[in-house]
Amino acid sequence: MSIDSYTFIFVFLPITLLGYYSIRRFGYQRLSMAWLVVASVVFYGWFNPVYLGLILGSVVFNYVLGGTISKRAGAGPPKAGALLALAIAVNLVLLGYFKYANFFVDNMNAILASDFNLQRIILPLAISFFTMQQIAYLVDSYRGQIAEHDLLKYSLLVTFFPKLLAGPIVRYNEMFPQEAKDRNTWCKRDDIVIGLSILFIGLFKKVVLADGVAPYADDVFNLAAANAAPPLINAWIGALGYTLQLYFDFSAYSDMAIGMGLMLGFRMPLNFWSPYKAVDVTDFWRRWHITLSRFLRDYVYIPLGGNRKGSLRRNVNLMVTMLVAGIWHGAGWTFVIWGLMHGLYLVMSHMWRALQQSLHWDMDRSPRLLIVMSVLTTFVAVAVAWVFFRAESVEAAVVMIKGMVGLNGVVGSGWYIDRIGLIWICLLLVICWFAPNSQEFMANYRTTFDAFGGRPVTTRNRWLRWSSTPVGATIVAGMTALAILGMSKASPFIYFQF
Amino acid sequence: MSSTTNGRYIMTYIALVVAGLALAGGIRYYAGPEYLACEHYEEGIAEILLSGKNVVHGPSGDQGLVLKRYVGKLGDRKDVLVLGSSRCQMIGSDLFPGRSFFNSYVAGAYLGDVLAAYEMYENRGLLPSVVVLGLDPWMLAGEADPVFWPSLRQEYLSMSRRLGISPDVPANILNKEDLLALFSLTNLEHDLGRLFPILMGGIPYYSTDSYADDAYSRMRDGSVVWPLLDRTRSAEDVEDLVMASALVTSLRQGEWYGADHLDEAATESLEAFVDYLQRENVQVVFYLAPYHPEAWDLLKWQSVYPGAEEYLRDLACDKGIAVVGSYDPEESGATMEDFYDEAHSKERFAERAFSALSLQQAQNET
Repeated sequence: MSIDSYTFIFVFLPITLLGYYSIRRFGYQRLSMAWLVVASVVFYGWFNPVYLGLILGSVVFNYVLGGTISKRAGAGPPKAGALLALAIAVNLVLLGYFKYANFFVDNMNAILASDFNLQRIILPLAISFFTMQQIAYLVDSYRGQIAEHDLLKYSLLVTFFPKLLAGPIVRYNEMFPQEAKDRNTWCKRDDIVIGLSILFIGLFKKVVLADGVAPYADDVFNLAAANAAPPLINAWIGALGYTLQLYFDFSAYSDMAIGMGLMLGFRMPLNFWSPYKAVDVTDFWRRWHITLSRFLRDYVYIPLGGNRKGSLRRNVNLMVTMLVAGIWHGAGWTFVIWGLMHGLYLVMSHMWRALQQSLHWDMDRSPRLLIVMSVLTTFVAVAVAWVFFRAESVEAAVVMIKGMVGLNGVVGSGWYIDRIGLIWICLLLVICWFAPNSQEFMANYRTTFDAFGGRPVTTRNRWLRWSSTPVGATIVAGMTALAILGMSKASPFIYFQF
Repeated sequence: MSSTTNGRYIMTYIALVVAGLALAGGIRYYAGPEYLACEHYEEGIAEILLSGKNVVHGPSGDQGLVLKRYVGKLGDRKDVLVLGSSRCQMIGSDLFPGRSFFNSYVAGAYLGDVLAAYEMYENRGLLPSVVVLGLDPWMLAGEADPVFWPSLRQEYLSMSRRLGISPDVPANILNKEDLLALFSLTNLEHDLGRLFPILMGGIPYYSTDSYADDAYSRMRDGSVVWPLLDRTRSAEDVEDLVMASALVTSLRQGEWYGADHLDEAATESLEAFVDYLQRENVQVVFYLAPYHPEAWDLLKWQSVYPGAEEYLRDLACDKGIAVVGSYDPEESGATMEDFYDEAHSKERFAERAFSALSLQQAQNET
């Protein structure tokens, strides 16, 4: 039951909402949360009931450890620190077994010319996300940032179905004050109506935009995987096609999570903010998968020393952090290379910023042309890195990159340039660069909060802002109708595989 | 408490969503190929064919419905019938001189469409002497849908009953697939292409004694003449087209969306159909249309393709049925010049292939 299926949208979600608000109507706050936990468990079990034990066991284990760590944190760091290390290690071993065991054995066989045979392990859905979520809870417990340990709330934090499969990664303290604050209001009509609108805007992005451009990318990447060398134009169609497919796919999921969360009275942290408008890669990571960036910053980069130990150490920390990001996304050398590329980009980005500072060069006051060039350069760098992210193998990625730099010619025999594909790419680029994002469009209503804090959700284009007028209703209804029509042929979200 | 949304907004939103979906469903029902609301188009084509003229029309349309209307009003029996998919559409009456003939192909035909097409003639008592069965590998492949054209569903059910086989399609009209088809973005894109010509007075089609250069022409004998651009395309250009085709592209990518084995239910249906025809003293000929050499180089590794040919040749041998052609272009004697695209051979190939059959028939008769 994918979140873009008829079963989910027209059966699961309405039943969940109906049950949730019926219970809240009679004032049973905790029972309504229990209802959401049950719904989330059903949702997760629908994919593969075999792994229900894994996620529930993991929740109980981390809840118990989190509470114990919190209590012992006052007694002195050494004890609590050891427990924290143990708890994190157990989580990572579990993740490592399910996600990386096959990769490890395959590489060991390749290096040692051995023939160890490990049965193919099926990756439990969302294991990377719920592992990360729980490590954050453990660390926050250690830091004394968790005010209360409540199994019901914690279970809901981990399993909450709108964000279970692909984030955003929410902190305990971000989610539960909301529920307490809303205790006197059992139902907010605005939350439901606007949440539904954002849900369908997301669904529209997925089934119409992302799925629409996907075939043009898939054709080229699949041929490259079969060792067919794409010429320049086709290679760029493939790379840009995937760059845009991933953008709208992840943007769609983020919107849908925000929309569903809002319908249930929970505001999710902002997870996606027009990343292809970024002026450098540092800016990109404050816009793409924002809660992952925050996790990596708070739980990897800063504990490594961050930028406190000189620029060389900072650069090493950046490389290590992005390597972790790469490995987190997938077990494969392509993801390792992708992570290292972004690490390198970030190092270059910091050097560029340092140069700007030494020249007293204020980017905000730079000529518009320079900003446009910065955006384009960042976009191309990110698109090149996505090639490794998408390719079946390093060899296939290299074939693509060779094509993109023209080593396979500009056009090639047997390679057809699909004009519809080109039109799709141009249209989606225009949307990426010039249209308001969903939060800007919904700027009249607070739908999210900024994980990094302080970013104002505004747009200069007042006429492109949603309001409860017939025009607003028409725009959202149009996207809803197209999304429902597009659901008949939807494909899985890309981020579900992580 | 002030609200951002109001009842009026919500009602407008719901009304517009429902209206949008209803519009898409309505367009599907009005202009979609398998719905009767635009039957005048298919009826018109059938009328022209019945009048003994050729018809020039666009590529879209319900070919099952055209055949239904054609056979429904056909006065006399045809001596030779061709049943199959568009891969046998180039077989014309000139290959069977002196005999009345109609090529009753429907594009994309599954085995169920072939059975349904024959049922129409059977139902009207217009039994032929010879049936050329254009059999494609996908018709026998595992989990193949029994019917491509929903408009032929009832005829398929009737023929299934006649043959004593279990039909594999829902008998009711309002099934889940049909309902989902009403609300599909892919279908909407397709139907919009038909809608505007219909609104402007109908999808253009016209009768002619010749054929068109800028469109497909269905000849009075049911065969098809391709547009001039396709007829005159060089073998090299066709090869480029083949390499860029969806079939070849997916095969080059190592992807195969078809089945990997023959379907027992399909082979049993075919055998029952052949037995039935032979019991009615209808001479059966199997026609195996070749694939373009570049496509076959990839297809031959899909076991179901050579497997289907092997099965059909064995069946033909058992039942004493003549086989014309081969999926393998080399085996069938087809060259690069004999193709319009990856799957459709030209008339010149059919002429060569069926000339051998004529000789064989002549020898048998003597």
